[in-house]
Amino acid sequence: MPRRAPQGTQAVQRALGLLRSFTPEAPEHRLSELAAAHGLHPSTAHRLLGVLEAEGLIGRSPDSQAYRWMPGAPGAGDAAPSPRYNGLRPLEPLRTPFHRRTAALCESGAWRDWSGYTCVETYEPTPEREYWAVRNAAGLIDVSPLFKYEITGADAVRLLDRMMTRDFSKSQTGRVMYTSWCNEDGHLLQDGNVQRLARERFLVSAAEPCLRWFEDCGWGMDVEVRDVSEEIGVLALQGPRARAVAEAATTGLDFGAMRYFDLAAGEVGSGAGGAPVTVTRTGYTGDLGYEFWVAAEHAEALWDALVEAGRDHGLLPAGLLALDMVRVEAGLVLIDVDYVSASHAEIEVLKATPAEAGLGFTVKLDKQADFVGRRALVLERDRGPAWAMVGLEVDWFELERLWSEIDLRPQVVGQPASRKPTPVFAPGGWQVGQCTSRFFSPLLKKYVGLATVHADAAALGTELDVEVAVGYGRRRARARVVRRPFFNPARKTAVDPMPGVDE
Amino acid sequence: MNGRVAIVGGGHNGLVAAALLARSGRDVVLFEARPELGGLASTRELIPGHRVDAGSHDLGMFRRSVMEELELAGHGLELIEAPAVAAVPATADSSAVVLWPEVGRTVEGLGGVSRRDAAAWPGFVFELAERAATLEPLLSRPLELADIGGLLIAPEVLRALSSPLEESLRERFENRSLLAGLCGVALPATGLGPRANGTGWPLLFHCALGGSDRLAPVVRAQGGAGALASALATSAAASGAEIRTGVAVSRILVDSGRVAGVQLADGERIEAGAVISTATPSVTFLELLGASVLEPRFVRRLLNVKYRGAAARLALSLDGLPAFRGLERPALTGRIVLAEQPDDIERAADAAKYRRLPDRPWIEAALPTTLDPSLAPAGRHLLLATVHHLPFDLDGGWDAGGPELLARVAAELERWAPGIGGLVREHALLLPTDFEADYGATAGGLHHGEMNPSQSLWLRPTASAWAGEPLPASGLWLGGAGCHPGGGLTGLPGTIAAVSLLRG
Repeated sequence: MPRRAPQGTQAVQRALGLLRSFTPEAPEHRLSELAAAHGLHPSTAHRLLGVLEAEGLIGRSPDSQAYRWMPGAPGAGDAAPSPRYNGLRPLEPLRTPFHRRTAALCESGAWRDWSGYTCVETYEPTPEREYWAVRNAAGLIDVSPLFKYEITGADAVRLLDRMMTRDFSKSQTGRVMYTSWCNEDGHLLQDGNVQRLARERFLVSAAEPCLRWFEDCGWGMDVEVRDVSEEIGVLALQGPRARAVAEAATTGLDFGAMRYFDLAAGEVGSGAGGAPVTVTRTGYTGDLGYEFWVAAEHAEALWDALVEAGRDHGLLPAGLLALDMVRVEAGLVLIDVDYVSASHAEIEVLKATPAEAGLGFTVKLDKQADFVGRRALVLERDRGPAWAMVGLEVDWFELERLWSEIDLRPQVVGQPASRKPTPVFAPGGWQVGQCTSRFFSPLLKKYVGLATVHADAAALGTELDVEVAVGYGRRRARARVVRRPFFNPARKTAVDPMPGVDE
Repeated sequence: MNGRVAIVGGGHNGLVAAALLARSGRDVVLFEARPELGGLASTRELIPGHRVDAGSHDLGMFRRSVMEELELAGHGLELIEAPAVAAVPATADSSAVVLWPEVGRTVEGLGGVSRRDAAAWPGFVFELAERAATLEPLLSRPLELADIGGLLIAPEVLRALSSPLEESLRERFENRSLLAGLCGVALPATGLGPRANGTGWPLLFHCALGGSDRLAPVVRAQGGAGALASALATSAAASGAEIRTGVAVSRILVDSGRVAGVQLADGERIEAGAVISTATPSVTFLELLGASVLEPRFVRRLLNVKYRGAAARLALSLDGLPAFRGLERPALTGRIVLAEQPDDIERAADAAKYRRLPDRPWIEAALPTTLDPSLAPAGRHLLLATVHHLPFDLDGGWDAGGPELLARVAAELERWAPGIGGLVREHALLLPTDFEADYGATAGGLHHGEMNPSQSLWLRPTASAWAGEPLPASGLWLGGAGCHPGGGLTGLPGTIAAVSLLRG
């Protein structure tokens, strides 16, 4: 027997009941269906739903025939357990500190899971404008799901030098170092950036969790490793206009003096007294850009400041599809797409050394400190890596020819980057590797990809065949090993970069 | 290469290794941090005028062949075999139960408590001996991979070592005191209650090393367990080994992956081409070698070693022999198990699991003065009460827990031997924290790593390898209880280290 509500609260109770019908599992409901389910007269339901909509707690589907769940709306679908889970709450996706902002802008409703976080795949139905914003103006990308570890203590450098392949005895406060780290057999675990915030304070950002690995490598050292992943929100501001936007949105930072891979601390907003923010001149786009590291509670203030400052510069929020496109153009490898982390490679052959994953430049075999995996990597240096990461450019005329056989133009233009590995062959011969990321670059007007191939097929100019899907058929298209990155504008590393330069 | 062998630790294993290597002509130097030798089998004057064994005092498992090879009798070691193996005083449920080495004598006594158990006893002893004989060769020499086959074709051994001890015993016996007595013989220092899987293993281990065709007898050294250490040291010195007491090793020195010697606490460096460490794996690798030369997965493996099995030792100087219910003097010469039933031990293990003191501690007691009156001044008796299944990480800490434990142990002793409180003249108490601080027993675990099947045989470090991988520095050997075959006063880890080193 339901408890009788006191007079006057009935409408509130009914409205909440309606609100709870909207969950991620059941996001859309029609008026008639809701009225029936809640035993309400359709006009009453309509009135209540109208209030919920006006308050921003639910939305309307584009054809306005149905009401929609609003991600991020307070209370929406949170209180009532989904009946599908037999009374148990389903595992809820995490939300980045920018979620309320990104959710409000995500017109497409295209979300993707990234390390358990709900992230925007594209804000608009296609990633095209977001992609162009990064290359021609500026894109704003929420990359908060990165794992972040704060390393502090007298032995902080010692720990990093022991764990990482780069030489941390040479790291400087105010600089960021990009590095790999390996297991005992020299197989790549991850790659990531390490910020030196102070003499004995570092921030490591990584795609995957590695707290236990820090503990195993640093046992007995005078160092504290703290997982601060959820405490820090991260925004990547990337594109030729990034400096102008960043300058307008912050105080206390000298962007003219900030070199590639520098870091500096400032404040959000144009006046004094804004939220503290750390800015690094880094990114995953191969373009001029900055990443902003801010305490979660100030995340929205940062977002708002950047969006406001970006109004005059064509700034657009960009989703993960656009990010994936520009990072392929930049020739940057992605963990578990272009290489498999040794921490979860099911079989030995899937593992890669840094050199095999194109990250050989991060390995400093001659550094003073003995690091995890060094012994194996010295052996590899002596005999040479077995595999190499290369850039491939697929011959356009070849693609046209293959597609014309089924009377179509190449169906590759306007597609986001593909992460499905496809085999790479010696011309007309055996498989020599696999192409793991590829897409048609709208900027370069070329079909490019990242591939891992046998070391002897890796020389620039080598001709190879890549398997491509042509309609339902599997065909081989001729490709050539080319230099990575495919796109490398001078503004990426330019000192005192100005908008307009190298556009 | 420097031919000298440096040995870290002057417990009985380190001394055995030193004596064996010196006898083979090796240049040996041994370092013991404490002033006296013997480690966890040393004898100390914890009570003025008394010779108190700090840890192990039963030499029943010590290899006779090693004693003979090292001529320990000639170097002053006198053994006394106790007439009784174990005894449980009378309870409300049962008259006293006494286990003797002789099968017939035990059967005769058991007839008074359970005719069924008396009938089952000979078969039990026979089968135990048979299983123990299958295991014995694996325990007394360096392990070979081929030895796995021998175990696999002995399903009864596998079953026995993997089952809960209480369950296997109940398949034969009904009397609760008898069951408690057998559990009390097998489970000291294991940290595991009799209902835990794998507790069959400690009993097999005990029998494999302690007996041949009968229940392993209790054997004591005249003058206390420290007399074994003295005889070993004399034997080693006679062969040219240098024994240095009161000298702590602070580092094992490694140069390009090879052992180069040891560094002493005062900074002195001793060059040596080989080092045998008898410290626990944690101390050897994480402290003496240093985590920075270890692979992270090796560090993780070390951090995963379980060191449960902490105990406290209470020594009491008594004005006379206490009256344990229903036990006559010869029955008091072996172990006296103060537990009414296996569940008493299980409950103690449960409490330890949750970092608490047991409400009613079970006690493994011994009255060594019944065999060797020289241990105490005339007219006095020495009672050694070992309280097993204690948590090292006691909630509230041991400073507060020590007095509380003492009170509970005193109450238990009074229950088992009414009037004993009036006999106590002096006492000394060693807590789990003392065992770690005094003897480097990580987390107070007396076996340098819990003795359960998951940390035994191929799963325990061996003298030169662990989990199939060589130790992280060449020239480094393990020779303490933390490596194969494990803890107990056996001399085997030291022997195996010496044998392995000589083989190279």
